[in-house]
Amino acid sequence: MSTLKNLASDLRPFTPTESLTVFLMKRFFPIMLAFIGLSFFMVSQKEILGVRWAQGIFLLKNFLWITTALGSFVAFYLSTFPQKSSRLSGYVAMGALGCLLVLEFFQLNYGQLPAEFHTEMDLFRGGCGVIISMMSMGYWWVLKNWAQQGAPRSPGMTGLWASIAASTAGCVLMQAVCWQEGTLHILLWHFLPLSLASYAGPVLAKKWLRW
Amino acid sequence: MLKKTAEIEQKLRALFQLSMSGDSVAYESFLSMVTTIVRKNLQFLGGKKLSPELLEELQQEVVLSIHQKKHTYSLERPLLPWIYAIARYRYIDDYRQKKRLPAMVEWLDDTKIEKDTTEAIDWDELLAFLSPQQKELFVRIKMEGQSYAQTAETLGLSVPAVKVGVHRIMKVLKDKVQR
Repeated sequence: MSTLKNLASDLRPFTPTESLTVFLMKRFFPIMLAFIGLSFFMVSQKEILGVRWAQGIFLLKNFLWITTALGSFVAFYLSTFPQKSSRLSGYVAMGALGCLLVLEFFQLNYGQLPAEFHTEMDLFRGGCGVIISMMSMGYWWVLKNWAQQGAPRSPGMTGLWASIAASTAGCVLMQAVCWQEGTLHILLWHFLPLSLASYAGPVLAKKWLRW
Repeated sequence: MLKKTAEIEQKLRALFQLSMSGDSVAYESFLSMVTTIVRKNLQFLGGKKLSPELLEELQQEVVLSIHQKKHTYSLERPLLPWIYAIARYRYIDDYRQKKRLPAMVEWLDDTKIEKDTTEAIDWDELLAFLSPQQKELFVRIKMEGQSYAQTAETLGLSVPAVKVGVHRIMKVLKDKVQR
């Protein structure tokens, strides 16, 4: 009973952790604003980006990237609380990512694959992968610090959602900047950082998100 | 049964809401109710495998986790599933930790340690990682061989609090030794 007394004497007024809306306003919408700002800026700089914004397939891909990002942000948020569990956001995120992959593989020019692959093995083209990785690492760290204040029931899953959310946020921003149209380029340099982060995120989260 | 659960839920929520504004009396009642609920839940989770000592230890851990993570509960959702979720997480975490624990450390947990300057482990260096209270607890129980009850009485603590304290100290020391 003395333990309970000690804990009770420790009590200070407290408020529950921020709601999903506040979380998204603080951590997801700035990315969207940056995406819109960057898109407008880049369209004025690169003519090809202006042309691409008029293509339905480019709009669809952007929509799928944003849906994946939003879904994974929501799934990440929900996985950080013991009593909140909704699989819908996860399914939406994974569904959108799956559609994106299918779309990319459908568009892939299999006849030209070796030549395209050779072109893609260029330091300049690989820059996209490096930028996305840097952005996702930074953002993963921010999300990890936020999750440490919560109580994730499954640190591995929370880490996975943080990785997907951070990487797709990076990919969304890169969509506005990158003017390489090749499908192989997207699969290699945009999806690869996401895959690597999805592997590393849960491993690191299991170490850092235990409470 | 359902009516009783609803009543408990309502009472707990009322106490939790009062606790949010810093009412320590309400919070103590809340924790006291939670302790009973957690004990029953752990008995349900662990079945006959759970010894009374382990049950006591786990119960303390869960209550402490609930205290530390109280801000993660949102009022629009039911409270009991939140408590059960934390109890379940702690139970599984404890099970996994025990599975990973080397036999050597388990032995260390129940053994009185003699201070020996010729040992590979530098105890003075290791004990420097502990707070003064933890150091006192460790020296009394593990080095001088005092009983939990005796130490609890001397330090003015409850026996479960001493047990939990020693368990935590062993966890800290195990981490340091493994590094």
